[in-house]
Amino acid sequence: MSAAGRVDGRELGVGLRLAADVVVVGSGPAGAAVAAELAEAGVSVVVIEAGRWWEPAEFRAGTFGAMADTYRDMGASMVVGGAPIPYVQGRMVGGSSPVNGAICWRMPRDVHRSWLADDRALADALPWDVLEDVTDAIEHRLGVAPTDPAVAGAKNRLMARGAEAVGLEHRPIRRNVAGCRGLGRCLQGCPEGRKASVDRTLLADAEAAGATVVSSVEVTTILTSRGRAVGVLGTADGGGAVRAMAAHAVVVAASAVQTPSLLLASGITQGPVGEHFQAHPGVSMTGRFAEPVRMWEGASQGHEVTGLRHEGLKFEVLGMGVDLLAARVGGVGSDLARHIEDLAHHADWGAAVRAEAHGRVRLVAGRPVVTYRPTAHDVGRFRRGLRVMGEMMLAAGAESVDPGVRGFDRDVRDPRRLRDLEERGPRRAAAFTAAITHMFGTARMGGDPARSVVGPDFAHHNVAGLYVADSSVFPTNLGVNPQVPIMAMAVLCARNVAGLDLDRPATAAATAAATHEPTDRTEHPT
Amino acid sequence: MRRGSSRDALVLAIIGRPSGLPGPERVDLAAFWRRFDTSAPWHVRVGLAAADVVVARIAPRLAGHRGGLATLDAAAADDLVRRTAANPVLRPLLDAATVVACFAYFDDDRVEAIVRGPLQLGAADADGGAR
Repeated sequence: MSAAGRVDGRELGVGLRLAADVVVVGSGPAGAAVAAELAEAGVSVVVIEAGRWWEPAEFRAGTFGAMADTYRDMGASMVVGGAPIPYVQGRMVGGSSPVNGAICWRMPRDVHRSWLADDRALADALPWDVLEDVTDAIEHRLGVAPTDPAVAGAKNRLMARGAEAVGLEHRPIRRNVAGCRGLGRCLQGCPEGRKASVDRTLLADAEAAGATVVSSVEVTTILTSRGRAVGVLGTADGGGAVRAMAAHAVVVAASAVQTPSLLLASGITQGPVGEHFQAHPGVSMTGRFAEPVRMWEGASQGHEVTGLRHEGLKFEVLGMGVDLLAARVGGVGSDLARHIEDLAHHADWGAAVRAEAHGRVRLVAGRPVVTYRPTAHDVGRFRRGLRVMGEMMLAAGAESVDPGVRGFDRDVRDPRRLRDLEERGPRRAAAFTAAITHMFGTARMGGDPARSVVGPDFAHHNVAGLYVADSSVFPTNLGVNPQVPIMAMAVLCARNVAGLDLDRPATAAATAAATHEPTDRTEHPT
Repeated sequence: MRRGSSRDALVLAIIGRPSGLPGPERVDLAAFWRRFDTSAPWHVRVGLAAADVVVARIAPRLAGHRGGLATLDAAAADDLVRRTAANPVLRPLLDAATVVACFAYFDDDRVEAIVRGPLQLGAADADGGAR
């Protein structure tokens, strides 16, 4: 034990047995939201997390150190198929939340409508008004607010300038931070603890209400008996075996890659488990400005362009570290040295694509393998996104832009070449410098057990007492940053687990926080 | 003559000599490789090993040098990696190695701190809001 209510698996050299009403696998946005909701309702909860706790002072400034410490596979897990695109997942208490860009979006109304239109069984299970109420409570608890202009920095102001010049809708990003000083280190973990990540909010609420958090323990098996989930087995980083028994339910909230992997490893193969993997692949554009941009300071991701969301495109300022920016700006030897000397003048923006491709998560030799091939339409969105970003950058004053596309110009100064890129650029996904940060759909919910893994109540169709709470259950991707919708859906999952009314009032912690600021339910631009 | 492993030589050649910053030869690469070897997933380690073999060992000999990249002077090493990067077949190997080289170079706190400098946030532009 390292603290009251905490078990550190690094110190577990011998076996450990635990028991609770509910065992939650994963402590990211979904697991933390489930744990808080249940613990505050008086349910005994054990949360088991593969990663360890990290304190703000431990976070390193460089991307490599951060990725080596807190990301799964050093942030270099790869999908295989059409192109080896990296997908990024945090591996720490709080999941990806402590090392994400702090970007908050509410569930888009159009996406919710499409889910209900495709499966009427979801209508009663996911009432819009309840989702809105739950989202209000979460946003208050996390202190979600538009980026403070005082900490935006040049990089975010340049995107605003570029979007304004080309006539696209844009806005400061709504973020879950408190007292941000614009250190630009969200993706490495805020060294001052100013991000309201779930380890510092919802999971802290769960602990305060009596939940136990077991860190550095990788769950390997869901235990079942007579068709019912009764607990989990895991292995601690210290070498000990961990057995956590659940009197009432096991809730899996381990991500759209790890959740189906755990189900498959446990022999729970009913339905399309692992199938329908969806994502938001992103591509980036760099540009060289005469004025200093200093990408490494200011709110890491503080401005976004929403005007093409109806096309499945959303643009964000990126917040990577100095090392990745240098690698992205490119060149080798004396060319790279010159770019490093000039790094303060380079900006890097990203386009997130609401891709239509479906992939699959399989287990190979006990490890997840994600097969995923962006469709021709998706690759068309890559080209379109790069063209629009390039036009915005040039309109904002960039001297030149670099789309990072193999086989295409690395130094573009004429917008007509950007049109050429969209219309005649590469058709292969492998030609683009892409990355995936949001994943969905691999244990999706629905009324038909042949087409879904869990029902509208988040309960597994075949295994009693087993629930899935994370973005695996989402019928589709969202086209926006999903952490808040994931938390909101997970709260509904928890209410189903505990047999609570879906429209019950917000938890005590959220209610207390809600007294400080009025709710902003502004419909998101479409 | 450069000392150290051929992957050290690869990092030195890729980074070049940025002025105003410590040279990459002054970075503690041994400490970096210890962390890299325990943290990087297998496919990243394999990718770097491939770049090491092809770019740091084979390419110099194909270019007429008697030894690998570690035996070349700075100008010859720079010329070699830049010519290798211009080869569309070898370019992906060098791209992967460039990411690792940047990780190694900027993992040194002195380099990172010099590049970042003190926080210079100023007042927001008038056009910083939403439209």
